[in-house]
Amino acid sequence: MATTILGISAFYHDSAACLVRNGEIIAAAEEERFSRVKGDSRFPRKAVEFCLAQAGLTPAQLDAVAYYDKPIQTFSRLLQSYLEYPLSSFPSFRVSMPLWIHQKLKIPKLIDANLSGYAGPIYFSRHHESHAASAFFCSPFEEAALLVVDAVGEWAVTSIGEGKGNELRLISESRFPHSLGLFYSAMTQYLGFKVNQDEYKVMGLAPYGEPKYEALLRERVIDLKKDGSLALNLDYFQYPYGLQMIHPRLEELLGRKARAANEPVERFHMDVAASAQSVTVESMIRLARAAKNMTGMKNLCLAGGVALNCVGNGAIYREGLFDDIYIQPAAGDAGGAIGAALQTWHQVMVKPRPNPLRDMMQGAYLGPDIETDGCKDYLRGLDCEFLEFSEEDLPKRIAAWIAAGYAIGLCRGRMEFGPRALGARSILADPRDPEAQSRINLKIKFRESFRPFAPMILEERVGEYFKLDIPSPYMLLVMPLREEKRLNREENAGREGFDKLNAVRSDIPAVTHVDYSVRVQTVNSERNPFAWRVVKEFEALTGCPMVVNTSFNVRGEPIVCDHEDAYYCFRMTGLDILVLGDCVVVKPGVDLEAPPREFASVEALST
Amino acid sequence: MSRPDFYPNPELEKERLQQGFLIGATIGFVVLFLLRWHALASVIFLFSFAHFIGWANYDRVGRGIYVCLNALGLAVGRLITPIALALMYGLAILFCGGLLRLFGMNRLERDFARCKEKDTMFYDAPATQRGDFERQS
Repeated sequence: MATTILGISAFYHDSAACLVRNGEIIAAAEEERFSRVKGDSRFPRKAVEFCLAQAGLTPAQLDAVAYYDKPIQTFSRLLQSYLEYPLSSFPSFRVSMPLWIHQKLKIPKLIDANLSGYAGPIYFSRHHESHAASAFFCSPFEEAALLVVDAVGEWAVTSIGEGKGNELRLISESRFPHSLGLFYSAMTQYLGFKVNQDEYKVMGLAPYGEPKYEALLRERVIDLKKDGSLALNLDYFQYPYGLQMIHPRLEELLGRKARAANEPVERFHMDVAASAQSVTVESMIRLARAAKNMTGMKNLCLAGGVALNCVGNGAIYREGLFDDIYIQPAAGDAGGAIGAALQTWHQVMVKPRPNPLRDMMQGAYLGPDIETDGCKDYLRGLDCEFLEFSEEDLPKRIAAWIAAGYAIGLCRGRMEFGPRALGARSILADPRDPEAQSRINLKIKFRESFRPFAPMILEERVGEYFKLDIPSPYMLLVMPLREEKRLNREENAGREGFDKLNAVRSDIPAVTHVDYSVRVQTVNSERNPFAWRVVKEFEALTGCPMVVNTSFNVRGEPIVCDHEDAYYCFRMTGLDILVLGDCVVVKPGVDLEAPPREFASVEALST
Repeated sequence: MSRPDFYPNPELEKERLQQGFLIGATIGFVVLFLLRWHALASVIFLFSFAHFIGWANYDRVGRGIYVCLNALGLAVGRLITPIALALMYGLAILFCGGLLRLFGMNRLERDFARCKEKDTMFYDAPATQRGDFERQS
């Protein structure tokens, strides 16, 4: 008889649910996709409903529920922090105590209230064990070193461990408040971005600047140890006891007030971003080396919010410390739901891992599906004209439209779990088009012009562009473009700040960041059959083995979930074509028979 | 922070009105006969009676009374909560925290200069046993 476990992460940020049946992940989704509240931290009621519906179960039929955190340990850390700052912690106490009293200390009661009919056990994993389990038990490795780096979970901020077979063990941990994740979040706030949401903007901004403040930060603010652990000078931060991350002393140290969200991004901010990023990358490399030294393992599993720093991940890969690296695609707190469920299966129920081992994330396509019939009914209900294509014909058509210069909103198949759109809820465009980056940023996603895009590239041709010997299916590695693919190096070296955006750096300018780096997503015919066929057809038309792939949403909104979200987003933005299942909706003025545009290759451009 | 749910739920509302009536009546009798605080007892009986009317005539006036009492409770809560929190903070955090700091509590390792002298900030991670999964701590 099948054993089903519901994994839940909630009440901090990015709440999510996951259903595991006999060790296989049946469904997983973040609550924000259903509630349309970005980073929704409430109990994932709708995500749970989806997971149960996907498996055809009622709560009463569940065998276990696993929660991804030990709330009482987290509460004790909070109280300890208040006790150590008795004169300054009242504002935070006043906000957090009612939440703890009414919610976070009543997790079993809340689970009971939201899972009517469930009478089984509730298991609690430690936060970092949930993260570690989400990476290791999903990886195809029999044994691996485990590295978890995030803001904080109970007391731990960074953990190193090892996984063997169906067991994982954390060996060392560094503790709150000396946290790399919290340091990065504090710098995110200093730069005028949202904490727990916009950290990737700091990562995207960093290549525009120089790490001019790195030495100052490392001398006065952050002491980086040889093993990657770190001590923070708490004089510059308020997060242990306050409502803000940073203390005004940090502003004094850096010589400027923190940027307000509506103020322009200047060269200074780019330099601060570059400095914070540089410290982070150095720490991540040292931590990976420490993990190697502690465990002696050949493979590495990475998780925790900092593991979404793909620049750091790419740097770890290039260090060559490990034969292979697996990064949990939902490395943040959402992935904790998967980790808690899998840890319950393997370590509480003592069940073996599958044989042969494989990537359990299934391309991260674990969310709700798009039914073409439902889309047709919906579009007819709106009196909206649409075309319908067969599944065989559609990839070819989409490739042709991309090659003709159109931006496509693609909402097809099961939704991705995790922060990246990987070809099921994606916006696709032509990477050869020098105008594509600013057009998508400003007219479609309404976001900052400096934000780079990622390519979805055929796995079999990735080596032509990058020195990358492992697949990167979850868009979690940033790699430098090969030297022979770069253009105008000398001319670009003279540019500063956002002026760098005006330079053509390669024959795939829409996905080449200003430092010639690229955030890579590899696709193959097994993991991503539809996306792979789109790129393959695009390659047949243009010779270019990749397309731009960015998440199907607008600034500040969660990625679209169903056909209604997708249609609304399509109507509100400058997207040209919308693909809903097998249906296609077109904006006025779009010529579906337009020929592919020609762009010069890197060889032609360099002569 | 949890808030009263004003979405109609007749069963739950009737149950709460009944509870309010019984609890109010019990407290009212204690205040009247044991403490002999007549004015306070009258106020409590008044609220208890309102709960009773709402419960006994739920179909006619129950929902209105329930919503009014909840709104009143919310307003009183808004006033009392910060005071209660300030008292809790004063006793539990300010007093105890002050004492603990006097005795040198430093779990957060606040001294940057001393942290800099250390070779590592890593500690042994606590081992997890199977039984640990059943606990929240």
